[in-house]
Amino acid sequence: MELDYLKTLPLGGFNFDNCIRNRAMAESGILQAPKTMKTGTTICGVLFKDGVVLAADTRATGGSIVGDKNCEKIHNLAPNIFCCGAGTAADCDHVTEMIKRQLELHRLNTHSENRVQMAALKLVAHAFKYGGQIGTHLIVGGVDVKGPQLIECSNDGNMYSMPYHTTGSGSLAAMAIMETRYKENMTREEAVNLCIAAIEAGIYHDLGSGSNVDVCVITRNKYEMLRNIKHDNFKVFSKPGGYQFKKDRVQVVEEFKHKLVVEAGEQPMDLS
Amino acid sequence: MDNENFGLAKSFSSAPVLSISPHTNFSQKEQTDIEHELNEQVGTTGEYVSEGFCFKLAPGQDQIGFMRSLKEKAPKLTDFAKGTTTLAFEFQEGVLVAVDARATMGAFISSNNVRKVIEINDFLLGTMAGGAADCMFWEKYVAMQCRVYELRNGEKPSVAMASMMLASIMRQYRGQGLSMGTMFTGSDKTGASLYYIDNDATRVKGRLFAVGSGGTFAYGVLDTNYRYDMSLDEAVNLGIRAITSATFKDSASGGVVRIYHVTNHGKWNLIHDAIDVSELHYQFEQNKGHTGRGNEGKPNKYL
Amino acid sequence: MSGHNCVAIATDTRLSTQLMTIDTSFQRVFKVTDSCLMGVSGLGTDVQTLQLTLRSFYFSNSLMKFKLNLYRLKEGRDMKADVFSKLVATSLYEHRFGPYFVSPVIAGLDKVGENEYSPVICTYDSIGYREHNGQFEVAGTGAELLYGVCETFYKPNLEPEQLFEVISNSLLSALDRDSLSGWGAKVYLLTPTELTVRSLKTRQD
Repeated sequence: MELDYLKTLPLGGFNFDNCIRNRAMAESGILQAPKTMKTGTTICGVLFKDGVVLAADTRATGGSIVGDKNCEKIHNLAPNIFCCGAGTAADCDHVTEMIKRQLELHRLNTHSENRVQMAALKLVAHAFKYGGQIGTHLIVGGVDVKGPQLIECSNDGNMYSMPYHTTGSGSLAAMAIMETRYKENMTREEAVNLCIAAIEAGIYHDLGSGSNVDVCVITRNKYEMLRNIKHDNFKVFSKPGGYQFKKDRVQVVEEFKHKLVVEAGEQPMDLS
Repeated sequence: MDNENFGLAKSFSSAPVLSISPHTNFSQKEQTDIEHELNEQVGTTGEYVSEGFCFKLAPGQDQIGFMRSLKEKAPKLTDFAKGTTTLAFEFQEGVLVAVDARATMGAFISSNNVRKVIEINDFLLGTMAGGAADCMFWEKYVAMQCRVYELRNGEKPSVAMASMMLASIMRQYRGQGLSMGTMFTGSDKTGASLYYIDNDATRVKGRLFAVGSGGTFAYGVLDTNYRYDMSLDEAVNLGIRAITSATFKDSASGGVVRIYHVTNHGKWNLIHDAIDVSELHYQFEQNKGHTGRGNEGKPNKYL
Repeated sequence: MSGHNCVAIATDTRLSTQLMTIDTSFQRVFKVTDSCLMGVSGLGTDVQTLQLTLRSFYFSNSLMKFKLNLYRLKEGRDMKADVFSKLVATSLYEHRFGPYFVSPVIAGLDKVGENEYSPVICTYDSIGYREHNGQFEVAGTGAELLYGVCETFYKPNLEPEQLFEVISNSLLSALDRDSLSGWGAKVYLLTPTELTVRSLKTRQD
């Protein structure tokens, strides 16, 4: 049949087609593998009286270049579970996205709330399967039937639960704040302020972390995403009114115009 | 290589070599065996000891070994800006030197307006390829030695001798990390002559050279159109043409063209100080009836 | 770069091996749908593997073209720019351990209301991290140089012609300092009703 090729379509999962080629190119010195984005991060999580606070900085770096000054490192996994990601940016984005889909399916199948333990286990199982090659260092936090929980998941498949966690390149600075100022049964206010202080320690003392502070507060049946709760590092330099350019600097030598059909009618379902 | 000049130049080159060797400022313990041998050959006191400088060599004993391991461990550290197109050729009215003006650090263009012809003195020129500092320093050093020779002997040294001084210095420091590929040209009693010298201490007298990453592209134009009996105008145009086409193909070359002419009568002249190669490219292409954007015969494809 | 109801991609047109220029009119930007453009920089072979050229007949493995067509057949409509941007991210991530050496840039306009369009501007690293802040994104060998100029010249909510000025000047400034880019430049300006492509005069060295 003519559509037989459909059977040969990839069914998902990783594709290793380019591996041998890329290694050959690297060995012969033709081309070095391009740098990938790292989050170069400070992330932390704290348990408080009736919930969990997660916090992260917002800098993404590629080598010494700040690629994204305001990226999102707190990922949503389920309505009651969030997760902070450090390590390779692409891994954190896609792995959390994948687990999010799995949890949603589980939720729909079982008509019940996801448990934090399960989300963390799924993340760890995935990481362990690839022997630490997938650069995800995550802090999973959420509130489920067992109460508020905070779990750290390493890329090597290790996971552990503690009342406060810090990860990423700025984790030492953040941990210093945590160790001195954490106490049990904090109020929401106290917990948020502690997290902000910890992340700011990372922002100001670690070169890989920077920009703003994102905070996510999860309590029973409710979450609050406080994006850029601290934004002391917003861009301050810009010329009012912008720049004017010399007219003859840009010389257009050719021009093509292409009329586009303006689409009308309603759009079917949005799957994004 | 012509042995007459070799013998003459050697006696002069040995003195400056000695005076700049680390021997004078380093303790005996830090000397390598090679240096000992060398010192024994040429005697322990230099004829001209007036410079008051000395290279700081690597800590330890073996500079050559140090450079070799440095190249392995940190290949980029010793990898100086190398992108260049320089060319020079002899013709009936002397020697023509043409260079581009781009300096790069990796892919980054640090300048498009560099002077790659070093005006050594009023009858010698050197081009610059490889490490800019090495070329500049040692060619200036040769200028000093030429002046000393002139004061001492009442006549200017020959180009052969001056070039041999430079080559001898390169021999002395061979393998120690200098980076230089220069065309050494000048005019003396016998007319203009042209040498190629590099950091392996190669010294070749020749008629036509192109050095640098764009050199291969320049050779293409040069070899096609070169004749010994060119007029000055023809030679200048050939130089411009060769540099322009090299800068077009080679991304590490660019900026402006500079042209020097070394006459047969003990002088050199600056013919063109800065012609923009991009404008030249458009001009040449338009003369052919092209747009200069390389889209001839291609469909106007934009999507 | 995004403006008010318009987006633009500016690109140079050079293809080279190491230092040697091979082609001075290499096409890097492709129209994905009527509302989305994709520019791909990186290794020439991977650019063509990923690209969406209309001559996909020759490149039977043009990855994104295939996925787009399949989507069109299944859904009976064109992909929204936002959806496409996520598709590119997953397609790149699929090759996480053997990546294509590319960094694509996507510029699109999604209709969000009557005469109101939201710009989609994003770029990726080679393994599919999607970077998007809605203002400008840069990629390629001159990316580090472009960050600086774009940061300075960019203003939000520019009208199409102003956006053209800003993006062209940004690109030309960066091209003059990047030895691996240049040899011609093209600016693709997308508004809801029209796509304008302009060739710019650049240095040829």
